[in-house]
Amino acid sequence: MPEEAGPEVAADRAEQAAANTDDGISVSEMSMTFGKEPTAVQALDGVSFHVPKGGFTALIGPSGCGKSTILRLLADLLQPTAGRVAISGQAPSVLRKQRRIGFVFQEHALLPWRSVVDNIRLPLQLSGRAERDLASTVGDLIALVGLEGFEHSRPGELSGGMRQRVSIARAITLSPEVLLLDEPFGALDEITRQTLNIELLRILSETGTTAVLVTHSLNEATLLADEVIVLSPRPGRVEARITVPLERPRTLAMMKSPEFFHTENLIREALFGRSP
Amino acid sequence: MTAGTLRRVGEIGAPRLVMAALVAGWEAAHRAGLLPNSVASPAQIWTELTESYDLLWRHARPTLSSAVWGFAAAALIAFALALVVAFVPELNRTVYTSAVLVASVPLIALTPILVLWLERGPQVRITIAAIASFFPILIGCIEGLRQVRHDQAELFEVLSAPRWQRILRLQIPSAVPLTVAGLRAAAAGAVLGAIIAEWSGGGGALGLGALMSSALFSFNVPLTWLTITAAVVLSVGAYFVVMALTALASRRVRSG
Repeated sequence: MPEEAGPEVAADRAEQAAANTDDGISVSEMSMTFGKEPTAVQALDGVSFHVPKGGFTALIGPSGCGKSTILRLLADLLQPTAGRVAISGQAPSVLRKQRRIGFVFQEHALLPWRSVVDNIRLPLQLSGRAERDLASTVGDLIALVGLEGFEHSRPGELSGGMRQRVSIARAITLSPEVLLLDEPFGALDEITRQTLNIELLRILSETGTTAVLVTHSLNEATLLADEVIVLSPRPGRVEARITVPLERPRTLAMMKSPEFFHTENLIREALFGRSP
Repeated sequence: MTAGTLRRVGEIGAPRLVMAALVAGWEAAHRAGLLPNSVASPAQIWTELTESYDLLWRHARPTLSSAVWGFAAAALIAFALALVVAFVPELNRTVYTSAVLVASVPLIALTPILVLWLERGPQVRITIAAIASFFPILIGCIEGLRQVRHDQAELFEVLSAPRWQRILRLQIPSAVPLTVAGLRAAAAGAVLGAIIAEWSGGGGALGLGALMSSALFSFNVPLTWLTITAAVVLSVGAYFVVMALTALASRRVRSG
């Protein structure tokens, strides 16, 4: 009975792919249901994708499609009801306990009572490591995100863009293997957002970190990602996978290129169907 | 004058105007014979104050010190218990229920029992003051320690922070505003608790409460009202002192 065997074969193949790739992020047939019957809500239904080591994948989809849930499953903040997740061949729980996951939250999640340096030092304090064990010092991190001169400011004294810079620096303090970004620039104005997009790419190219970004912006997804995964409305399924044919390093000038428009259009079509 | 200046004058001036109007109205009502003779007039209270200043101060001092020590003891115990609950959340309901029980005991009946147990003296006044101020502080601390922003909690989870780190670096700083609110709410309670203990004989013949009851039972109306006024002034003063201290302390805690 080929109809019944179909999904199973696909699952096997995805699982094999996960087992064969030790590096990067492998998600196979991951499903997530919140709550119990009769009020259960299925957020994700059989999501599979792979992000190669050092790659950048963007997740895009309508509100409530489970994009943020995927990030939380990768970060071991949630556990999937079905399917497998592996990062560098290991379960997310292993990586989280070794503090090899960086997370940038939608609303920065900075501690308002701590200064910029002390926010960036937080992961150090929580891991009990000393600053000399770091790949780059806190001072280097502040320079990397361009916050020199604001070391001792409180988050409340900074602009929204600067707060997200602090948040990014904090997420990479311990040189994580993967960086998960949950709509980090969603609340920022267009100009700040594009500047930060380019800076994020520069930081990632310096650190070689694998990144997964959740975004609402077609533009941002195209500019940043190697591959854009379009999700369907709830329950989230992979609707389309779109490779971005732009070279690295990316520049804002590329946004005027025909490839950029073409890719953006492909994402738009996958999201909304072919518009008349 | 701009609207802003007017508003500012109103904000500062209005409460004082209302107070002045109340006192003036009270005095006028008294002179017009509208009030029973068990109520002293502001002028009578003032005269009584100038005459019995030393007496009043001698009795106010032990009340004040009982209130301060009782408040401090209540705060320490509440902080400790709230921390225990933060470490062992399963104890939350047990602690809440016991605290409600303690707060519901009629203090006026508790004093004689404590006198039998602890002997008459400052220890009884301090205990009652502590019990009277304990509940709001505890609730402020426990609820404060639970008031953690969801994304900040997730951050600590992603960073695999041990529970003590989470409590020290996230929950305690987040608890500051509600703890401060609890301390403020409890300040007047400590003073009133000390006075209740003295009133019901918990501290011997000294204390505002003792002075109040002896003045009342000897029908000394002006002295009774002077002690009532003193009690109000002490309670309000306690509120403002706690407010000033917590403003200082919270700046420290949150910068640490």
